[in-house]
Amino acid sequence: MFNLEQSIAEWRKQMLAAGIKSPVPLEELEGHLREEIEAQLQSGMTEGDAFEMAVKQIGKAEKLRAEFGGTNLLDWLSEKSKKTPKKKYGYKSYLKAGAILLFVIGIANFVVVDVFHVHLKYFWEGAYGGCIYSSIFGLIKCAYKAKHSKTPA
Amino acid sequence: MYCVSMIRKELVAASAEPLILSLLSKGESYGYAIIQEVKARSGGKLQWTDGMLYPVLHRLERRGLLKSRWGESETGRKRKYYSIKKDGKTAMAKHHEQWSLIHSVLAGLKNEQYV
Repeated sequence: MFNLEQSIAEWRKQMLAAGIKSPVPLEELEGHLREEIEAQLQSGMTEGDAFEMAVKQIGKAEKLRAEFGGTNLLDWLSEKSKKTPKKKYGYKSYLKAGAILLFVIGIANFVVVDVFHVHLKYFWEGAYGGCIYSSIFGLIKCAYKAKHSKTPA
Repeated sequence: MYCVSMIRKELVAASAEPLILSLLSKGESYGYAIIQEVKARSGGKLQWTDGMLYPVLHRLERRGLLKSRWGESETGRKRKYYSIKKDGKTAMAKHHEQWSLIHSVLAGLKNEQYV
């Protein structure tokens, strides 16, 4: 036995599963579906046929989702983030970055100590040194991870 | 917007905005009624896949051409009514101008073919 309310509830689930989550379009679409069903019932159709006809007339969930895609900012953003995955770097990139960092530190050390004759007694033990050590350690860690990662860089 | 008649879907899509604006310039209406009126006025040749109307209405609303309000149908069901705003009327006038131009060019070319 056909149950109209149950069928409409199922249709709602399909719409939700397809991604039409924002309540406004779904409420509007359901209102439209019910109006179409009523019109078909008045023309003498059975509930089951009227429901099938109305669903067909409204359109497939996936197509509607694509059309509504631009209206829901959060969905749009999540779609975008799926389409542009985070770029992965190879271990060589981290090694290059490490080499550049060491080169810059060398130049900075030369300028500070040999050109300006400023001797920083606690240079390597201070906060600045700590940042440099942690940067180098971070780069080595990333390079190791990148080399042993299963996904190709 | 998808059309099941012989009118190409690109043309149906392009005409959706001016048609909606023109229909709403007569007074506020709601999705189902808009579709029924378009269907009736085109003799059933211009049929939209119903669900596709709403994204167009929402876009027009976001652009400030339409405004909407929730109301109730005769049976007490929730229904969203749309009405045209001042900018919508300006946009509609531009559409009419452009479509009239296209129509006059086509009509002129057609007349020349049969001379």
